[in-house]
Amino acid sequence: MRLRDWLSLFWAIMLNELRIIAREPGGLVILLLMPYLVAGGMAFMASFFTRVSGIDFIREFIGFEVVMVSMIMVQTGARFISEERSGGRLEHLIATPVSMYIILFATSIVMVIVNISAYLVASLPVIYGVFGVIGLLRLIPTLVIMFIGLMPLYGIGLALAGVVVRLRDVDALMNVVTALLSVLSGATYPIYILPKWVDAVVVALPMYQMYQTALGIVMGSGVTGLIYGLAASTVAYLALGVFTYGRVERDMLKGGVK
Amino acid sequence: MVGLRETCLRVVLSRIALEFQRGVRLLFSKPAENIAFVISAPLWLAFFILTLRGYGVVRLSQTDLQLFLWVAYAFTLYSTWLWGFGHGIMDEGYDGVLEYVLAGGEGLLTHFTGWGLALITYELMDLAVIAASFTVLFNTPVMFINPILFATSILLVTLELLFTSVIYSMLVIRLRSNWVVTNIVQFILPTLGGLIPGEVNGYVRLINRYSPLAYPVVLMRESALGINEINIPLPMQLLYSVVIIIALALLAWLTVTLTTIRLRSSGQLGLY
Repeated sequence: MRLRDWLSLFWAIMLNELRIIAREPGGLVILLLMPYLVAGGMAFMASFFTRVSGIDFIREFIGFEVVMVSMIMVQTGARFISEERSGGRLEHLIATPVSMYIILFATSIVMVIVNISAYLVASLPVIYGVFGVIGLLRLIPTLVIMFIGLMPLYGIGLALAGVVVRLRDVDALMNVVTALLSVLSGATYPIYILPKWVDAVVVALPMYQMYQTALGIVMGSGVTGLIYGLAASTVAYLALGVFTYGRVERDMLKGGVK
Repeated sequence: MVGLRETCLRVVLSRIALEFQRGVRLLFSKPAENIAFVISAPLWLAFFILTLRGYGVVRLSQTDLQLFLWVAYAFTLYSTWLWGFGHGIMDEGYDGVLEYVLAGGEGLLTHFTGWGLALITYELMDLAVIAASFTVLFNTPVMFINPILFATSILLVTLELLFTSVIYSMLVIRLRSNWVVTNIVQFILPTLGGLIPGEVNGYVRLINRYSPLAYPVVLMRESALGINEINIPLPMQLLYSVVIIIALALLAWLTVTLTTIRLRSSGQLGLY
């Protein structure tokens, strides 16, 4: 297959995924509203105990944005596999000459674009309100950080897909994973209050690296060494996801989809 | 005449009991989901408490923690009921259950009432898990100052949520979208429904005092903590709660009747 054919195939899968997402425009609205509802709700609660400043709100708002898009990204691969299996399409997809990696990557890219767009649109008013035009300029490089940061999370999701194909109850697993990763995100609280070993786990996960790097840029304090950690995470978690999913696909090719 | 009324009542109650039985079986048909809930509830609790720390809340007193527990429980109740009904009705639409219910002449209200009552099992599980999580995480035993009033308030909250969820389900049928509606409603409804304790702010106390939806939830908190949050005598709060539940029941009956007529006349028995 020539490069042009690959690109046209990739584009077709992306368009199809985009149409599926666009069927429910209300979902996109929720993506924009959710950080306001959660960060605003928590700020409201916290305001009864202490004074909440604009900077506090920005920090928490970006934290919730990171948690939200991360959770969506972690679920993307596993849910895709699970839905295709439930709909009886997974066997057909695996049997086609098109690599599943192409299909998975194209669908994930759409989700990344939707997530980053939601992050941008939702953050604009808050960032402008606190930092003005300079804040909007600082927001631009954070889009790149978000793009890179969502890749290792997709890798974690792919690794989870390996577990999902062996389970019937995907929702149950995802509920636990979402809750656990949200606590371990380190994006909405200072991590020094955690026990040392939990602290180490949080720092090794991409959510914290993505959050700290994006926050540093928005606040104008520059990037820290965590950006190298984020780059390393991207390679490591994506490799883990690809390796794990590869093994699962080999099993499915041998024994069929169970 | 009396005999006929008793027979009709017995038929309706036996139908509700059947639906209740079906609902309980359905809820426990996925044990993995129940286990996941038991594991994830304390994690979410920890996440939100840690987030308060992120906002700079360094210390929470014993009273604050007790209040926070009931906030967490009330929020879980709203989420459980709204998500349970929202997802449930869409699933029933997809699976064709609603088509059978509507085509078979069964009343949708009976169907939802029985199914909703089955959610009580979830409610009690929620309470046990959240209370246990608080005890473990904060070393704070849960207070139940007035157990009888507390049990009554749980019953009132259940009935209120049952009828609210039925009305909400009709909205889901109309809009054909559950999670978008739920996400918005589950933030608005608790605010008007007494989720936030009046102790924290004078404005919130005003909402809790004058919002008719708030009384059952406020009563639940008051009976557990032995306080009078909105300065209305408890018998009056009980009376107001009963009145609002009757009003919600009538509204639920009306919306279900109108929706059933619309679905039957348009031929959309299975929603699609």
